[in-house]
Amino acid sequence: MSNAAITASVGKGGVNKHQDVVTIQKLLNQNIKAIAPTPLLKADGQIGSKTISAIEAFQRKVMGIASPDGRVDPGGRTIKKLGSAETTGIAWPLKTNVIRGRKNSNTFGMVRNGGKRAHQGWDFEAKKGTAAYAVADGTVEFIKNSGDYGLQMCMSFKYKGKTYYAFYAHMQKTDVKKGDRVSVKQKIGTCGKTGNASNLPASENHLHFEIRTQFNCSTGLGGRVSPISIYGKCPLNAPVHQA
Amino acid sequence: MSFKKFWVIMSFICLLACNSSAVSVTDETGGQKEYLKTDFPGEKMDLSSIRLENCQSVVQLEKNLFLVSCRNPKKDSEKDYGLRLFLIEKIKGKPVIRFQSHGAGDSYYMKPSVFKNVKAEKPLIILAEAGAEFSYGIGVYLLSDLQMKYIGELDVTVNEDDTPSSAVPFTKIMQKGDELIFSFTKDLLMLQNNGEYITIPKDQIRYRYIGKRLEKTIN
Repeated sequence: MSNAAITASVGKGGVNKHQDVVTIQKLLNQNIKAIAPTPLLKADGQIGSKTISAIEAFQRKVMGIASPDGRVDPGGRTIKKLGSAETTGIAWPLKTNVIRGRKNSNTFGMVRNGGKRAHQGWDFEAKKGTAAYAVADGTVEFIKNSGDYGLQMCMSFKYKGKTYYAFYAHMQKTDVKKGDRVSVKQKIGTCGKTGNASNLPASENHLHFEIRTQFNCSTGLGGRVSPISIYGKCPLNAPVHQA
Repeated sequence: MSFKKFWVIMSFICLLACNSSAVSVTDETGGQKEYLKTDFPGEKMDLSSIRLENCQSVVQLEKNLFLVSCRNPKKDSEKDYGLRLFLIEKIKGKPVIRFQSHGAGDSYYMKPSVFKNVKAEKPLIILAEAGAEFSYGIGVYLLSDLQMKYIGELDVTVNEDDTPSSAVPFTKIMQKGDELIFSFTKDLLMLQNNGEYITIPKDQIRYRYIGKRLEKTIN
């Protein structure tokens, strides 16, 4: 269920309040693949032919409406559908995403050492130098280099009305800096084997990836959720490829 | 009688792998000094003949005696796998395994630190800290006359920048005869079954060994 909301109608013949238009433009951008070849919209709050055409394309292609009206009303079918498809605004952090070694012990929870130790995220197989991408539109919250997790990048993003943080660790380098706005699928750096991962053989190189619900997490699993709560599935046995 | 007076408090010296400040050095423990400095990771060893893999830390105990943390795929099973601590003796230039520990599971690293009683030659006490993204705890081993044994786990860490980190630098070891007491100079983290840690004040926990296994006491 989506929390996406607007206060007044947006689109052809709509009230078109600035913030509502921005909301719709962002939602349309998150669904851009479904309405190809519609180009990405500038989320500027200005209603115009491009935004209206995008609404019509969404209504036609995603909702199956033969004669779209090009308008989004509060609580209406279009806003609900736009919101429910919000997950399309979430990307995977790599082009090929599969849990390291296809082992459950590299997923989230009390999965390490036979259930005696915690793992705070997912480990994705990633050779040194593999590009890593922003999982959503968001903001780089911090970049840190410490002994345990090595080079880390944390970005905040909105998902279903809530703020989450995607945390990338053991990176080789980052292409962004604190405070940068990043777009979904934007390359944010490359995977490496920094921190404690430096001890692993090359065959076990990986990206340690967490989804956090708090900026300041606890030392255990607290403040983190399984990434499955965002992605809906875990690529444990077969990789998920991202275009 | 105070605890301090009751026990013959002896100190152990970090030989290697931990840095020299790793051991709590206080007058109360009789004063400690660095026993031996050896280049890390010590002499390069060719362990291909005994088919060990992913060798990491190497500690040279004597001219031909080494502690090494490696993987031994031949020994791995579903429940016992991962990095192991090995005691390797070089005989006529060839490595011979004198001891190998159980596997450290999914750990990425294992760092042995060696302590020696200043008033007795043996046993050596080895604290093998292991972990992945963060520390999992410390395996404790005793070594005497090439006989090495695992006595238990110091299943604690310390909070460093909101990350469970090695407690080795904050561990004090005291000995009375065959009895060993492990105490700490910093508050500790202990993992609960739900994946959360609780903090244990440093003066409320100690581990005791009297010839069998380490026993944890929390006040």
